[in-house]
Amino acid sequence: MPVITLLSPKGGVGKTTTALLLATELSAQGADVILIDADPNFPLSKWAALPGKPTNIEVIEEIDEETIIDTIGDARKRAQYVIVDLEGRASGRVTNALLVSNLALIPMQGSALDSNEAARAFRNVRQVSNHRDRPLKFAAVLAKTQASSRLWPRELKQIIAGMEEAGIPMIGTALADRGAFRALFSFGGTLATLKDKDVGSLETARANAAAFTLDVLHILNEKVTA
Amino acid sequence: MTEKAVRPGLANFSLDDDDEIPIPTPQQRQAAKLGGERLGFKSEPMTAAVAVPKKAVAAREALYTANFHIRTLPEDRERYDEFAYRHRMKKGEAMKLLLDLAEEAEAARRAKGK
Repeated sequence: MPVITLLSPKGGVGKTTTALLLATELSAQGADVILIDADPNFPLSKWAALPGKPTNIEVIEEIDEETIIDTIGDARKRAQYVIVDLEGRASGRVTNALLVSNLALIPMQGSALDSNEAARAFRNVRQVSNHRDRPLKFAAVLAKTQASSRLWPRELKQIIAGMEEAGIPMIGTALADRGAFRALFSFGGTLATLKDKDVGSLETARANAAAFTLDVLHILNEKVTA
Repeated sequence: MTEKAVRPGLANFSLDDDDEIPIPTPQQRQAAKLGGERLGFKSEPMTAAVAVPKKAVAAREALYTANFHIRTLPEDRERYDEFAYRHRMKKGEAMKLLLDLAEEAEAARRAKGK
């Protein structure tokens, strides 16, 4: 079953939040999801320890570079979706996870530093893809943006234009910087179980996560040519 | 992942095998690893990946704990500070040295006077 891997050599760009939103949205649609927490700080395991984790989401900790391929292989036999959340650094673990992934998502924010590190991630994705039997699909994810694209800074717009020019696919829906997304890590559960009294703009956050997940599934189902 | 229907006329009820990613061969892994390392995606041993808690370092015990003020000539103060700085000494250490030398000189004078 499809393996979606989130990577970026830079920390704090939104990999774990994106992984969790994807997992919870897919589980809400009835899919069994395995989240592989490959960040030595185990943020997803900490989320799983909070109340409200859907029963069809399993979180597995895996930080061993040598065994991550087998762990992903075992997970894909048991779940409809496997989502791998890698730590924010360049490591051999990233390369090995990419070797057995169907889709690599590279979250980034609108700064030159982020885009430089994302560019390094894209280069690694491409070189791994060249060493596989099947090409690896990949896409950039705009994360932690302003909710309204009209408020996006010029720098972010330039980065987007640069990616379009370079032929780098991008997930159409950006994930905005929302309190509801952050609240998942303090309250636990999913966007569906959060309460309006706990966090604001919940409906908008739910719509954002749902639209994002739909875009990810769309790119996952696209046929690729070598 | 799943078997294909054997006869072309039969419907294929298997799951979409487009999802299947073959397990990489050791050669593919090695080539990807080398390519990744050229981009800075370095292999790291497990011990480096897991944050090892640092051994607690015992707090250094203060040696020069007495504090007092001296009224002195500004130029002597400057000489004292400059001497301690030049020898990269603590002020307490410089004071001890001055006293040691003074006592040595005193003892030498006393011996001479005998």
